[in-house]
Amino acid sequence: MNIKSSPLLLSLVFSVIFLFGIFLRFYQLGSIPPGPEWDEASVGYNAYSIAQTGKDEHGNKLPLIFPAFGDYKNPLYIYLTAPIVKLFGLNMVTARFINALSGSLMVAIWFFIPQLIFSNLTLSLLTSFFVAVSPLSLFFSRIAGDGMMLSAFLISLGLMLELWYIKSHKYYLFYGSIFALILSMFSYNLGRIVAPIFIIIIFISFILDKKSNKKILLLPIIFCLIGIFIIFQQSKLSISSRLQYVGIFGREKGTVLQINKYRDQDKNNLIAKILHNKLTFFLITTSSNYLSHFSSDFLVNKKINVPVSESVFPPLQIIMLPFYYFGILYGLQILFSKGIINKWMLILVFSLFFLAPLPSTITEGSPSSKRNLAQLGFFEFFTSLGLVWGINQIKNIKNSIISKITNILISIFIIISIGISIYVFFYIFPKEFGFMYARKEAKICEVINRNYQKYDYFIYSRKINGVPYIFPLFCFSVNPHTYVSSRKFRIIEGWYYIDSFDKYLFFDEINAENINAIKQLYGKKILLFLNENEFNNSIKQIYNDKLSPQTDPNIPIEPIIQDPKNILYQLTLLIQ
Amino acid sequence: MKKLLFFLIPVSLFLLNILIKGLFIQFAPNSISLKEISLLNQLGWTYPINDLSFRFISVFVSSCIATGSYLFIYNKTKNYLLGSIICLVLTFTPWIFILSRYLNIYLPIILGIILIYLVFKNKYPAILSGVFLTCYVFFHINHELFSQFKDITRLSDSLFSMLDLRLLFFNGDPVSYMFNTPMTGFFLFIDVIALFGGLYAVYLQKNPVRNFITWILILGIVFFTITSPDELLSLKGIVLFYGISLIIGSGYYFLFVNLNKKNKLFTVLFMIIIVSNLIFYQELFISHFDKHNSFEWGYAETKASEYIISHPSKTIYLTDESNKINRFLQYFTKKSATIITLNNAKIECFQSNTSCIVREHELAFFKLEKDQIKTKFSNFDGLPVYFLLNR
Repeated sequence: MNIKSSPLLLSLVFSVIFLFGIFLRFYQLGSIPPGPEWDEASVGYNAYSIAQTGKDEHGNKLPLIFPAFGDYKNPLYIYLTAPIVKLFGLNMVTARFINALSGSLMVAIWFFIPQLIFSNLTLSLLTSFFVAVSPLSLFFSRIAGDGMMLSAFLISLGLMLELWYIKSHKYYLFYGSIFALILSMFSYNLGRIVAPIFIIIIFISFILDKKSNKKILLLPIIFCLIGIFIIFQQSKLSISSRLQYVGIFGREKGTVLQINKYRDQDKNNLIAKILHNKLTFFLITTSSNYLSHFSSDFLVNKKINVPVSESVFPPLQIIMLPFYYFGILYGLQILFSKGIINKWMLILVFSLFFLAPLPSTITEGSPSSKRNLAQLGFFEFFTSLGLVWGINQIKNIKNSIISKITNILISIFIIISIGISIYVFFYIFPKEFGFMYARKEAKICEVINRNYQKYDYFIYSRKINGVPYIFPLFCFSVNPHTYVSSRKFRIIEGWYYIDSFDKYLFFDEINAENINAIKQLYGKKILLFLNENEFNNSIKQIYNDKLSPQTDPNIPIEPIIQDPKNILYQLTLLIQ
Repeated sequence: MKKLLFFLIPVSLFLLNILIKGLFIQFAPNSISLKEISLLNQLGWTYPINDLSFRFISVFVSSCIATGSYLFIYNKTKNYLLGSIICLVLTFTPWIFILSRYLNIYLPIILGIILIYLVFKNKYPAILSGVFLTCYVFFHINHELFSQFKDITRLSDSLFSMLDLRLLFFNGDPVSYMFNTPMTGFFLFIDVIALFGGLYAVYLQKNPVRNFITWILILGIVFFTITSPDELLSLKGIVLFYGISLIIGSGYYFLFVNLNKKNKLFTVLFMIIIVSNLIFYQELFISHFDKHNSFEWGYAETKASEYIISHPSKTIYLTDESNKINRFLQYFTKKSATIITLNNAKIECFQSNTSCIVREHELAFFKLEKDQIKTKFSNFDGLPVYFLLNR
């Protein structure tokens, strides 16, 4: 029985891939990767707050953008998470659910995209399978953070619906496509750069298409205008300050300093001014950043020292790299060949593929896996295209045994390499990179959970975590009303510094000055958490001032986390 | 006419190579490096101070590589234009341009491979080249051919890191600035477009040089894996760079032919962009290379040696930390300065007609600040490296 001639077998194979993709995204969703990290906690708590009160953590009613820590989170992910949290409570799984669902649906979408363009089942199933098992996709499907995966999903959905529209000319697909792309702008910032440009390209293709009814353009234009209106309503400050913060164009950024250096070396002569200026240097910097997204280092090497919201895992396995490159070249060859029927489809695919790295290109720290997430699916699509092309080339080899052996070897290598990467993702990664996640914060939550009634105050500092307040809010689903009414906070350069709420006190650092402040809490029983430095700097004073029931300095205090990267102490204080 | 062209083109290309690669060779890079001194010592070559003309050896070898590549490509394709473009790429492209100005034992490897391909056209030249390459590495570069295989992950990581487009076209060697022109990779920025064109032309169209280029790339990977992991990427990668240059050359040819078919204006525009990029690169090389990299070469040591040579009546001591100067001094004069310990230096350096040359961090031992020292030997960028102590 051939898969191409049997719809039943095809459905079965596709279902297996799809279900496997779902399984890989939902299996131990709450614990791999360990969490919550602060963005997940913030997104989760804001969703909880919306679900309970219709207001965010700062008491703003149904905000269009969430100030959160002062980093202004996009609204869509939080609003979609709110009903899930309402139904199943606030926890790691519910906070991550929408991204996991988006990642699962990507598996289906990237079956249909190749199918719509090439009607090649092998290609479609391969692409879908590679998306299902991609560690990069798994990583971003399994963290809440901002709605990165949701945004990537909506962009892919927009592409799929548009391709479908080109094939069938059913206008609701066109509407759906534009609507999905506009939604992606409210899910993660990458959508704000990729989606508008892609929508313009879609409009151009629509206008150039002689078969299209131009009247139906009105509704998508209204969608766009509403989208633009909402974006303008959102804090302008938040967007511009964010770009200033992460963008390469900010003042005092490396590029500007470099220009000055070369001009000084040339004694600021005319040639220096012609050659070393913002235009040439930014052109070079952005080109260099852009190209890094197509480079082997980004595509196949693991990233060890990355921020917690960036993927340690590269987009491709080493064995897939040559096929990926050949897939792109082969795709371009098809695009430029004469008499091709689905030319506009390929133009749209390549447009989105080449647009996708832009958000990462114009920010520092490029290439960034999260800002480049709109390329997810394309990695797998072009790898599959290259593989199909390669298999065809191998078939042309006269010696059929060699061709069969080559095909088998390639398949074995790919399967082994995928198997290893899945094993590493689920078993090695949580152990080796667990320290990056909020292990201390989770431990603090655990201790507080056991002892909440026994103590009057729980105190720890921003040295343990820059935004310590969000963890008890998330761990104990603190009532938003209680939180908003009891909190004390400062706003410094747009960032929220929560100093206390309920039984919790947060200092910038536990030091002599703050211990003197703690001493004023007469008759209170306090649980104090300290990192290694704070402990070493404070323990002497705590003994001297007789703040702790333990008074013998010769009895060592064992840390509650021994891991060298996460040493954490807890101390009970009784203020007499 | 055809016969005339047959001779005229390679001769012109060779002379152009000599001219371009040999231009200002005394001034950029403006000092001799320690590795060059070692190599010259092995060759038994000594020359007056500040004469960098020995670098014409590299210019010659490099010009032979470019011209030899032209001859091979022409033999294979009978296409003057393709051969010439590849030769021009091998004239201007940064990785070979800078290596042509540095005496090294790496460029002859590529020349050897080209000669094998020219001489043993139909007698398994790839295998012969592989044998030649391995023997050359074993006898001249690295006796432990398989040392890198002990850590396969590191090897694959470094190989894939090197094939990073940003590194190849914009940043260059991330570990050492020695051969790194500021803001420049191993190739020109514009070459990246030609690379994609070349990959398309070589691998997705019928191409008579496909096998040659593929074998060069394979040999490049072999060379990368059997050379020491501590070697600079600029040197470890040269065979790979040569292969990539061939692809880039094919890409330029493909783009020119196709642009010309569409509209001649595109060709002119493309040429203008290439020339602008070349000017940008040359300005960076001539005006900024030495300021950017002089600490990797021997500018300060040469200046210190010049001082010692120009004061023959004076006793000048060096410390362990400033001993590097001796290597330069021995090369220039066959003599060396005496090394003393810091404790002895405290007494000796301040005698009459006696001086010591020390490093910055050693000044604290003498309770001196660097601003108190009058005579300093600095890198070309002005950063003082050695300090002269005397009465």
